[in-house]
Amino acid sequence: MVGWAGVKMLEREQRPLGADRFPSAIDEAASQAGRTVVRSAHGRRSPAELAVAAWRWALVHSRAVVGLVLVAGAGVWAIARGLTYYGLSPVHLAYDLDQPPWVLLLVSGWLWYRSRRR
Amino acid sequence: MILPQIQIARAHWILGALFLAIILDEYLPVIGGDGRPTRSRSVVVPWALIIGAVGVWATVVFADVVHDMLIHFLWGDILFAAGALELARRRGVYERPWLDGVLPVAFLSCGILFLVHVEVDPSGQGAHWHLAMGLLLIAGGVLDLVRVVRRRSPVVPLALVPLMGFALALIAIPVAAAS
Repeated sequence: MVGWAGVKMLEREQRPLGADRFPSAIDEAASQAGRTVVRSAHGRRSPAELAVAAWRWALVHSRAVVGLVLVAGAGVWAIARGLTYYGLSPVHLAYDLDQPPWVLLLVSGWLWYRSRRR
Repeated sequence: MILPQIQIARAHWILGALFLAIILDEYLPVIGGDGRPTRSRSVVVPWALIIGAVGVWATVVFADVVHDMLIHFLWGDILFAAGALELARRRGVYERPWLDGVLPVAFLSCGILFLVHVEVDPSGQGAHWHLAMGLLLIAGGVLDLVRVVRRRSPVVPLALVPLMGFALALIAIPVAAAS
């Protein structure tokens, strides 16, 4: 089916059922990132191998890593600049939450929620 | 209607947080059911772009300078168009290769709007910050466009760095302006 401006429209039965069914653009790189580091001959990992393994783990679990960084940044920000307490009414609570450290914590929470296995 | 500085700062904090959530969800891999990282492709991202567009359009109402109105209106248009196209693609309604370039081109266009803003009002408040933020958006758009054109597939795209810088600047700079 061809729609407006020549855009190809898929029939309803051809459409994917969920957004996660789109082919991933990172499959090839992901397989490399998830690869286990080969141990050295005597069974122990060298510091370089450990660093590479840690880097790969951080890449694969980057949502959790960035979430932690945001929490740390929010903490530093709150300590450095302080938080103003407005009150317990709904409007005041909204004012409490719209401060940058809280905003960063909310984004971090969202990221952790979205990092769960699907 | 002219908003006080703290209200302007709050609007920027929220918009910056929304943008940060969008790009992190879009560009950071998520662990799939088979334990391998994959890209999210969530419909939350286009919806967030559309909500951001509504927020930017609201600025047109509250802005007290003509070029602010015009720039924010165009910015809202770009975000809305990008959100609508991405939403159509992720729902499976449209399938075209050029749709891969929607997000990079949107970032690039928004960055150019920042530069136009500075060009129109070079002595305005925060002109240097607008310039820096525009350049960050342009860098993010260009890097992501190069990735799309070259069909590269890194786990975490390099464009995330300038785009995160832009979002954090959007959150951080109004603090200085408001205090």
